[in-house]
Amino acid sequence: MSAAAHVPSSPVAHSARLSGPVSHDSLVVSMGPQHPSTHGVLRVVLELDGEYILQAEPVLGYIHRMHEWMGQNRTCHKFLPNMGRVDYLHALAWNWAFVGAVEKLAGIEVPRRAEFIRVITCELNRINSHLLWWGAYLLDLGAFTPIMYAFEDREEIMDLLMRVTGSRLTYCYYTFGGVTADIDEGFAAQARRIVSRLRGRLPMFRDFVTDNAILRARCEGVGHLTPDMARAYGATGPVLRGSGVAYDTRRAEPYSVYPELDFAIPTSDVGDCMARYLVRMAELEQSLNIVEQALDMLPEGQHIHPLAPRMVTLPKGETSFAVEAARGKAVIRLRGDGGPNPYRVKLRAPSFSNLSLFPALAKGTLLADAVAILGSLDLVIPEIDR
Amino acid sequence: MSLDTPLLSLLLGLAAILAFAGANGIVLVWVERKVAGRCQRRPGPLHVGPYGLLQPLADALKLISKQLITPRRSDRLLYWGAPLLSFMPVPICFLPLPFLPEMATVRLNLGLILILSFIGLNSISLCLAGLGSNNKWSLLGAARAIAQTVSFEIPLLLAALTAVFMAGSMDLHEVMAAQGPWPWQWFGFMNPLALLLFLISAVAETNRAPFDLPEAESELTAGFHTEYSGMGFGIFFLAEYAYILIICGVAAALFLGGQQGPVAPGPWWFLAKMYALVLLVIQLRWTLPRVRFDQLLNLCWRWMTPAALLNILATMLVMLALKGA
Amino acid sequence: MPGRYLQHLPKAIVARMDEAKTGLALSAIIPVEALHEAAALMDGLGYFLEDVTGVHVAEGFELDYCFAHWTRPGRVCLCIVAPASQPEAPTISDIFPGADWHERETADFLGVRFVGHPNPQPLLMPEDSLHHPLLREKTDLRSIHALLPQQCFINGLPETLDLPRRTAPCAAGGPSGSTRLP
Repeated sequence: MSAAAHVPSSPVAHSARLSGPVSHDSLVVSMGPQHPSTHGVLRVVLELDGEYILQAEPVLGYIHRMHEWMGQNRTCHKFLPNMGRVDYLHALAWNWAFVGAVEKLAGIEVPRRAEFIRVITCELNRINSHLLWWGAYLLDLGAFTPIMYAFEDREEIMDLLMRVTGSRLTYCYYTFGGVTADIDEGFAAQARRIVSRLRGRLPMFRDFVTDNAILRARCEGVGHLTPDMARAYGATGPVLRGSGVAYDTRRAEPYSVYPELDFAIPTSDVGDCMARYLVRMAELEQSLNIVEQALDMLPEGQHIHPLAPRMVTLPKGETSFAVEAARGKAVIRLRGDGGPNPYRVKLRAPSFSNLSLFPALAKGTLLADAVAILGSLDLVIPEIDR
Repeated sequence: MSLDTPLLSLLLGLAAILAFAGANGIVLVWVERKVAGRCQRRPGPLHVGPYGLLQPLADALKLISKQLITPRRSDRLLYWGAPLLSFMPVPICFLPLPFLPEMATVRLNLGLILILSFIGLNSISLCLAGLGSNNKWSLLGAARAIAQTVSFEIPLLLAALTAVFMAGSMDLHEVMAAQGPWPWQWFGFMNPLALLLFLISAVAETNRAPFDLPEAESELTAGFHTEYSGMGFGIFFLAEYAYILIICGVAAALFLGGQQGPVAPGPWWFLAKMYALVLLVIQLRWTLPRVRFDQLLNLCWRWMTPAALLNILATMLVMLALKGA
Repeated sequence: MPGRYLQHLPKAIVARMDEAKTGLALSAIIPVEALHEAAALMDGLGYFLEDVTGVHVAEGFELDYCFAHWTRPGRVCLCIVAPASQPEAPTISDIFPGADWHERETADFLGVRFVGHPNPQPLLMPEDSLHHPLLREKTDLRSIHALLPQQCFINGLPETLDLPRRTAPCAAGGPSGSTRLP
């Protein structure tokens, strides 16, 4: 493999990034890669007429780490920790996607208890992710306080997950054939406390934030996404469900023990930023239900299959494994060639497709609306750049 | 040489006002951070000095010791003139405020006009800062600042004018004196719409959240002061707090009876009302999301300006009717 | 099922896959020229494009276009093999605007050229980089046959890309028990 032959040339003008022609009397600004509301190192080049957006073009790659190359040059066990760094806010979903793909291809069995533990921790992680989104979105809209409330609740969940995973954000907890550590009674009791506490907090969030007139005025009717457009761009997750399509990987491509669990797929037919907001808020409640059910149903048994391989050898063949991450459908495609390293690992990141909508959604809106739209897509840049 | 020398008293008064504005800025930074902390379920500054009281001093020290950076290809004169211009009107605006009963520094029969006209200078300084920075975000911030302040000056003036009609004077001392000691004798309670319009316009005029569009962090990074470092930013900051105080002082004098109070009327009543309003303004910032620019202007032109006009008309009619009776 | 429609494409091989093992309901190896038509067909059936996966194989570049549907179960994969001598594929970003970025990414990683792409700038790699990170050394390359034992290839198909219109049923009990559509 030749070393990256990258010789920096003269900087590219902002306007050269835009795909369409740039008018003489418009203002071309680069929003990001350092900008408070691009949440990380996303850059969006905007052509503005006053504050109206004529065209927008995201520029990616600032945190590109070539996970896919790393994947094909490491054994599966060594590549697994990378998964916590793809979508660091819902790390367990990517853990699950990769572990699930390897298990599927190599035919590794997972004990039933481990499946439930995966559901519990993954949903807790989803709650964490949605709470952070909620706080950060309100920050985008200029409300500084909700994020502190969100972090108060996140802190409890992170403390809980830290007990079993050993980390607070970039988890590497699932392993081929189960999970690395079992959960105990204390974990279950604490998880139940968190669930009941959050149930008490969500109505407060609704009263003080969701029903706020300014928030409504900023979100309603902004960034309208039709189902057709969502399909053309491959949008998934709450972005798609906010347009009235009840598509959830946990139901559409059932995996693990999700078919045994009772939960609804919240959707909204409106398709604007508020719809996506409300879908995520409703998903918080559904995730709480799932955690509670899974705790009730948690069977005795082993947390990892006794025959789980120490060293995974991938047989020849290909497989795809999809999970419902907080941002949508996360898929790992795996190609084995009989060796310990995958021949090809492909990461299908939901934020990638969701962000590709942005130029179409932002066109003709105000700068402030663009911020509201960008936030409502719930982007995690490391997942887009991978 | 006696203390009566006009020059000496002017210098002393100016020094006192500047010291007050500076000290006030520092205290308000602390109050703001503590209020923010209370709103957000955290303690706020805690470690520097008792209750974190010395934190703003430490911040000021940090700001002063920071390097002043002038962006390349910026207009140096405008760039450094802007923060000074934003602070310059502050002493003048403090002059007619009725802090003290008769020892008021200057008693002007057009005090209100003086304050409101000099507060308007602030928007020019924001505009110059945005223009001089050679930064597109700053430029957008400047455009917003001008549109916003020019729009909201109208309901602000109309609401203030309502109280002036009710008192029959533009001298803040006389407006105060025209109100009684009890809350229902204050203009704000006799004419709550005017008070509401004045307060909303005041928040918009001082560019505070939810109307902090010229700086709008999540949209324009920091708007007009994106490029300012150290005390360039510090002076804007200080001026912002000074303007909040002035406009709340005006509101307290016009609508809340100023130094009038049920027991022991005096300057403390004025100070208490002024700081209560300041606290309200601070609390608003930590409670509400930011409105969008077109919504803000719609609010101003579609609702507040007509409402202020109708209110002033109705007030005049009532005044006439009372006079005739 | 889209298999029925895909059969009508010239020279397509359509394989029904073992979904429990591969996560794919259907895999169709189609000639490069037929991709655009096949994508339009998927669009007409209401599928959305999940992503484009490029794999560097001995024969050239295998490009997998995976589609899923909101209501129909099963993932469908359209597979083309662009020969190493001519690493080109038609763009489908006119049908699925979302394919735009996926194609740019694949072009970044493998150096495949997407003919007719509206904005063929690098997406994730630096704009002046000539490096394609997922290209493998010659010694490191595997044949598509070695990688995809589930699919029943007719002799030497991917090299020639001259696929017969209809294929004989696959021998039962293949490595993964996959069957072709009748």
